Amino acid sequence: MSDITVSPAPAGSPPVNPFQGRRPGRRWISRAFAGLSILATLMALAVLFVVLWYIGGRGIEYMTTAFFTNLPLQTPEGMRNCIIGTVILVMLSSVLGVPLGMLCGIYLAEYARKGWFTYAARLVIDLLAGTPTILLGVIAWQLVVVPMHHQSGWSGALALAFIMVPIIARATEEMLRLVPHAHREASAGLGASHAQTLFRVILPAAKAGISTGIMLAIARVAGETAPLLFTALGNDQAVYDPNQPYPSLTLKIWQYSQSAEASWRHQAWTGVLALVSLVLIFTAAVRFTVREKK
Amino acid sequence: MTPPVTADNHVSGHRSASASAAGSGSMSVETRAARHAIEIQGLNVHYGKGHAVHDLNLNITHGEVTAFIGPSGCGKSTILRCFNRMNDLVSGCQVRGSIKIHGANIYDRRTNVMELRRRTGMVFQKPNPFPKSIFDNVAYPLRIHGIRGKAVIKERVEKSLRSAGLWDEVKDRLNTSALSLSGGQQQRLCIARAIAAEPDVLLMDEPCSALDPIATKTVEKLINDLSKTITIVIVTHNMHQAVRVAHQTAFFYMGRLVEAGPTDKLFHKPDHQQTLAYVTGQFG
Repeated sequence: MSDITVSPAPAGSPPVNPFQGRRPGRRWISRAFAGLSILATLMALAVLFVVLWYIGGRGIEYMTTAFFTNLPLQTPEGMRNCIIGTVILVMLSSVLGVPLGMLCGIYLAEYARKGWFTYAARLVIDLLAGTPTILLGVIAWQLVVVPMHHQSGWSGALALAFIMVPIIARATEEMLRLVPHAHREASAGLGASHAQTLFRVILPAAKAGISTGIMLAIARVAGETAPLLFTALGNDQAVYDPNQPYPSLTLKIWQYSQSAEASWRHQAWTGVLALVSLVLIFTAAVRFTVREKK
Repeated sequence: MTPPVTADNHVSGHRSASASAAGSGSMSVETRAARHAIEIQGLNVHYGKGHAVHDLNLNITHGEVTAFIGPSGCGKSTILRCFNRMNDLVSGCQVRGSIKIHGANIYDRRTNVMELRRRTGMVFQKPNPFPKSIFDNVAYPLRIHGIRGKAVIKERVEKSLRSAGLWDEVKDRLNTSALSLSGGQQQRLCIARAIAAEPDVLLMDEPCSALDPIATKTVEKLINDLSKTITIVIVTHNMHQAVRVAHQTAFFYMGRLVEAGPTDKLFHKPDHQQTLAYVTGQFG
């Protein structure tokens, strides 16, 4: 046990630690910074938690089976068509927006040369991402509703697709840029064409990041209301033909939340809970599918 | 400055089909092509305004290992990257002059760069396996060049991994990620990948600079074994390595070829004072 002998400090002098820092302030600044960032994270989480708690509580309080099985004008009333409508609407907009956004991102990351066109393209995409979504609804209205002379699912899907494209384009571009140059070199050095390198090496390597971007875009449009106001319009019937005015959960929530009728306001709460759950389930499912395999 | 033509027993096996298609067709080209895997004439490389390689004339003998040595920034890697046109990927890089591989000018408009790169494998300074399984890494060049059929691919993957001396270490875990291998194993995997499509020429850009001495030894033995069947050009910072692996050595300084010749001669009785100074460690 005691091969090592510790020489006692000479009597009379206080023990001195030779490793005592000369600038203890550094350590305090470091700790303070760590504390600050933890605090900020907790505050952000607290806001989210309060919102979820509130929605969960109110939503469950008024939840009935009829909510999921009945239509708005039936008794007891429900939002079945709105839930299905939102799912289809988001799917339609994804069919338009995801390939378009990804192709834009691929162009910007892989093919674009420095020049005014690329510069302009990036600028426009950034502007589009920052445009109030109600304006994108106006564009979809002008492009689809005006020629058709009535509101429709197509116009709603188009408005949502407009929102998705810039988000997905920028996410794709950033993720492709993160793929190490060594992978491109290795692939090119083996005689792969640019497209082969892209599809077999770069896109698989960026898969997780790109799908996160797509997921964010989908979650974002699932909650959009403003661009649907004068495009999808909403529908109280179980109508899922995109040529007709289209039912949407967000529109229904918006409509009911302003109602004087207490039972409608309660329905709105449950609608919000349903919407949040939809997004949550979808996000979890995507994460699970594209998780890094060991 | 041209290395003396050495007696060469592996002359005829690797004649390129494109040599007769794109070459001038004269008899002299045909016979020269048989001895020289790579013929470089009047090569100049510019990066933007920088002049990286000056008027290079050099022939690289078929079936031998040629080492490029010289201090950092002397242009040796740049030259190597001209042989499979990797410099095409660098914006602002201009290559002038002629490089013939097996008699065909690779900077000719008709050259298919993808085919050129299939026939000139490249191993990079840092091991760069794809984030895929070990098997898929080696199968990659086969698949992109249109080889289908699981049995064929499996056989070629095994053959390449055996040539790279990696088979016994990985045969039981071909489906695990290549990134789980050690640095030396990764580099040998990259060599296996580079030779899977059966190139005639293997270009190695400081392949051992990121490896420990034991892994380096393994790779050098591998170079030795591979040189029996293919022409190898290796860029190296390590002069001892050049002595150990190369039949021919070329010394570059400031973008110019100073001297080229049999490795023994270049290290022991060089013609130029500068070469002597470099190989004896007086600068560099």
